[in-house]
Amino acid sequence: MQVVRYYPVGNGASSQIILENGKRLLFDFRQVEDGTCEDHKVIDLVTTLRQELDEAGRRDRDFDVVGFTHGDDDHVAGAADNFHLDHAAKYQTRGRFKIKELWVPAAFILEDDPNESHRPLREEARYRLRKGYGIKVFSRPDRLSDWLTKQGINPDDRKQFIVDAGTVVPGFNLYADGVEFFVHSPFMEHVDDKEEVPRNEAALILHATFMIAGRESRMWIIGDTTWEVLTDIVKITRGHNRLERLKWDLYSIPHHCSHHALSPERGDTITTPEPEVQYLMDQGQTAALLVSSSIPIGTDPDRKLPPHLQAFRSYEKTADDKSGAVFVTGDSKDAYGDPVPLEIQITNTGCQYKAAIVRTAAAVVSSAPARRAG
Amino acid sequence: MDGLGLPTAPTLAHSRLSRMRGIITALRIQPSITPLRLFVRENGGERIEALEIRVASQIPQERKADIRPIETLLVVCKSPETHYPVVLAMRPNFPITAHQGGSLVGEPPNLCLYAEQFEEQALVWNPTDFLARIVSWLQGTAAGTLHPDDQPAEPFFFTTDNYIILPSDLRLDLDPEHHWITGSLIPPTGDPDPTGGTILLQEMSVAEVTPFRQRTGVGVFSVLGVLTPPVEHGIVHNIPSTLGELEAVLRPVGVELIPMLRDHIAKCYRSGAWSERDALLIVVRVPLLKHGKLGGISTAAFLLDKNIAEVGLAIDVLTRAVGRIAVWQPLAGAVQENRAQDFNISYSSCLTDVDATEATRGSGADPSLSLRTAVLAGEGALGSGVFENLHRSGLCRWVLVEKDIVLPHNLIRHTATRHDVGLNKAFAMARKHNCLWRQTDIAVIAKSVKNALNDENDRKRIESADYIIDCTASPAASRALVLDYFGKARRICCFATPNASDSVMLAEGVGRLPQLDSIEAQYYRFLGDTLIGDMHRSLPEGQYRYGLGCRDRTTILAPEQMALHGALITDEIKSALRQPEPRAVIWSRHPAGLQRIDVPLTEERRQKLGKLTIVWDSQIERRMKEIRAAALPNETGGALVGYFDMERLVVYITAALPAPPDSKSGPGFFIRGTAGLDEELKQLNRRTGGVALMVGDWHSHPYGVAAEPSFDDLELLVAEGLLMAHDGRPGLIAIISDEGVPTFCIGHLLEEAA
Repeated sequence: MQVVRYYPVGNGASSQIILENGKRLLFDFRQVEDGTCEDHKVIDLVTTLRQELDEAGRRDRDFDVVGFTHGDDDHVAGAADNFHLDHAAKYQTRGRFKIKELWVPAAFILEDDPNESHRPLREEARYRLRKGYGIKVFSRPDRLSDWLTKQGINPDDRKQFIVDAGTVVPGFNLYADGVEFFVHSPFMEHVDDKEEVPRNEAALILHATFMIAGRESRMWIIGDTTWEVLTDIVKITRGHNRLERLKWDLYSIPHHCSHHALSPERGDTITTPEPEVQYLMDQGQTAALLVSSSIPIGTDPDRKLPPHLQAFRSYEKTADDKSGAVFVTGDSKDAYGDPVPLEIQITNTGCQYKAAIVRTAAAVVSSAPARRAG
Repeated sequence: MDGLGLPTAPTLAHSRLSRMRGIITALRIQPSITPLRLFVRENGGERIEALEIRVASQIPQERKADIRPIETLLVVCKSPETHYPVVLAMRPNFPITAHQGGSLVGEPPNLCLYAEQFEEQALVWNPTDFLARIVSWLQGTAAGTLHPDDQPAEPFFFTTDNYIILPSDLRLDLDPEHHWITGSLIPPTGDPDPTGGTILLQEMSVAEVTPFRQRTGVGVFSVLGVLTPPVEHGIVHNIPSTLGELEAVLRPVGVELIPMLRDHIAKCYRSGAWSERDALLIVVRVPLLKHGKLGGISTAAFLLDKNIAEVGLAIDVLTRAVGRIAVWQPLAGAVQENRAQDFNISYSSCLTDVDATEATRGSGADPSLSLRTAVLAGEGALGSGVFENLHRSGLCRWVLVEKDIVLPHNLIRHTATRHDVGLNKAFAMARKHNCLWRQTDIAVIAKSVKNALNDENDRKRIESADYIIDCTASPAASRALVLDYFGKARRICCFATPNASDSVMLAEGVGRLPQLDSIEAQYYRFLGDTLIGDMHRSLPEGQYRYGLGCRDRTTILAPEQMALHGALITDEIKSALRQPEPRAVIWSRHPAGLQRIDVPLTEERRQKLGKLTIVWDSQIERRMKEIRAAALPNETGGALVGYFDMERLVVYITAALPAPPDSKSGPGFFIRGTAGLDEELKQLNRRTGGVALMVGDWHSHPYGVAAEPSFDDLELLVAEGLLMAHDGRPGLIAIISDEGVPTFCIGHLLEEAA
């Protein structure tokens, strides 16, 4: 069984893939210091991850991969305070999480004016790329070559650390790891065609294929993106006739359930996806699941920021058409109402939401009437 | 949720029913189940509370039924809270699956969560378990594990608590012009105006229908049998409530109901046996396939609320002309219409009547034994109990042998009733048990075992049986069944000991080896050798006198004690019949409980010597050889213990005792002493209830000397023969030599020869 855990970090994102062989890949990170997001409790991500790594016997508290889809605060907040960063001693105090391999989009390195949370991570990525270890950079824009050249490094000397869209990420394969990652985005144009490096458009989008006992399950790993990017992805992927890279059994709903990942128009009651996005939605397999990394959806149809109710209804319709379901990280709570990770298990029968009935100590063993014959 | 009223918040403030309050409270700590809305409706004294919940459960993508990871359900509690809360699936396209309760067509599916009756489950019901069962139902149904493959096929329709009992050999293709399937209502308490009841159907000829109607005094049912083509099981249909809905359910499986109904009604009319007021019952039988193979048959019955004439008129098979009803003969081009779609029908589950073979399944007995023939001799307290158990288990076709009649005092422990007093006990049992299973025909021989020998028919009936079970508690009858009747039937003998503390079952193996009389002898040896014998054969403390005759007495004994022995013995008999080996079992009851003792059995030895038959067994030979080997090169010997059947001139040897200590012996002689012998013989006699006594002497010959009687032996025989002749018994000596097989000589035969 492979596991995908989505952490309820409010309108932000953090998820972890735990493979059967023990490898762990963490995508995005958001530690909310006051523990709330718009009055909704969010998880203490640092404590939770520490417990998980300790329970798994990872004494170095390391992840095999830490990927940042982009540098927005809601995807990187608190990372610099909690990860061991090699480029500066001040980020190397005890107890920090260690990163064996860092995955970032090229834009993550090239941004000139990153926010305070992003800056140390950008420096770490630059450091690793300069030194030539423990990093994968996604897409190969000219700007990245220019930056390397300015650093006195021949770009060809770092090409093994660069992964292009339309290829499979080296280092993982279906047979050794039970998973492979296909890169959908960013494309080179996402960076080179713009004057400023656009974060969301140039964000990392991966498509994971899991294999368990011969059964393949597919998952989209998307941070914040827009319907335009998804439209491009669908067109390009169809153009290359890689239709299996569009299918999905588990869909990480982009941008905290924003309608912008479906359509520029929110719609009155339901968002109608743009045609190519609708095509992508149609690639959901029977009984597929969708997960929104957001606060609870609520009932306000006029809410400005995500999650958008109309967009959620659109995803619900997709789920209903496929006999599947939509889950929201903000709804994932324990018996005391505290946020807990939302876990999707990937087995030889596909993806399933992990649910359990909570029993009090007195009811741990269910009671039955004493059987008698007569 | 129509008719449930306006929703309120799902809080305790709005709930008054204790189970709903428990569920609302339990939901506070269930993150996977979210309460959405609470509907409350008061209707007279009845209060209904319906809680809408959203349940997230662990449903795999690959699933056997379209159960979703998130389902919206409605939990309904009603006052008074005498039923389980009902759980309804509110998604419009929720699948019809196994383990749903009976819903009418158009109603939401009803999840069946409990196999137990509510009254029992109510003792331990708690809301968390209830919620867990909901989740478990959803997950199990999705995964296809809620209904394991080894369970029977799911019925075609949901089941109810109303039953119609069908004959086990029900034929649905009967032509009602000649044969009817019919029945009448059996009210549960004999109430002449019942609101419900059970219908027991039976097949009868047209000529029998009218007398049956007159006998029952109420309207009878005319049954239309509908046999559908085989259907793959798994879809349990909602219950139709109108004739039109039933028609719609049957059409997809290839049945056009109305033409069948027209044909049936017309034939009933023509049969001349019908009455306009007869009720119409449609019995639908659906062969169910499991993975393409026949996995069961689902039968359901639908009773129309209109009588046969009203239905016939509404579907244009009958017509009313000049005030009389007749079969409509449509002219060419005329169309028969159906105005009966909205006729209400009520649904009953069908149960099949149980026959003996089915009873073996329900009782865990071997079904092949239902066709075997068995004689049970002795219908006393123990025999009637054993027979009751065996027959209710569906075992055997029976011949009962008993000479006694039921007397009032028998009712204390016998299974007969006051109505049977004065009847032959076997006849009383047969009368009772012929009504137990259909097509039962128990034969009775109202004679003693010995008298039945004199009637050739009776003797043949007994000798042709597969099993002869002796419950006579009469050694004479027992011996007769073993030795005077021929045939291959395995003999089984069972009895309780005199004070009823213990019971005994002795059973021959397949091939009748050892024979039951040898097993009995080995049982007596066991009693003599073990302490169990001290109590086993002791006499009862009191006697109950039911008359002035010296024999008008019986043991004071509680009925449950005899019933206990009857149960234990029945169990042993069933077990013995399943296995080829012989067995001898003692069940000993004492204040600390029950003890089962297996008596070891060995090969029987049987030798005819003149008119005398000598029966012994290999254990006795081994014992003599051991004693001889220990004494070699000297001779040795001792007393032979056993008993006689003087009627048949049989001597049963149960033991060969070692030499008393004052015996004298050398390589060429042995003189048995007497020290301690008397005490030992008394002990053996006591332990065997007065059965075992000294029947002769045995001694050994040294190496190389044949087991032929020597001159001294002949002298001994004369002495022994003269001595025992006083008792009318033959004097017996046994000689054992190197061959290890005893040679027997009989004293009084020698005397006769002389």
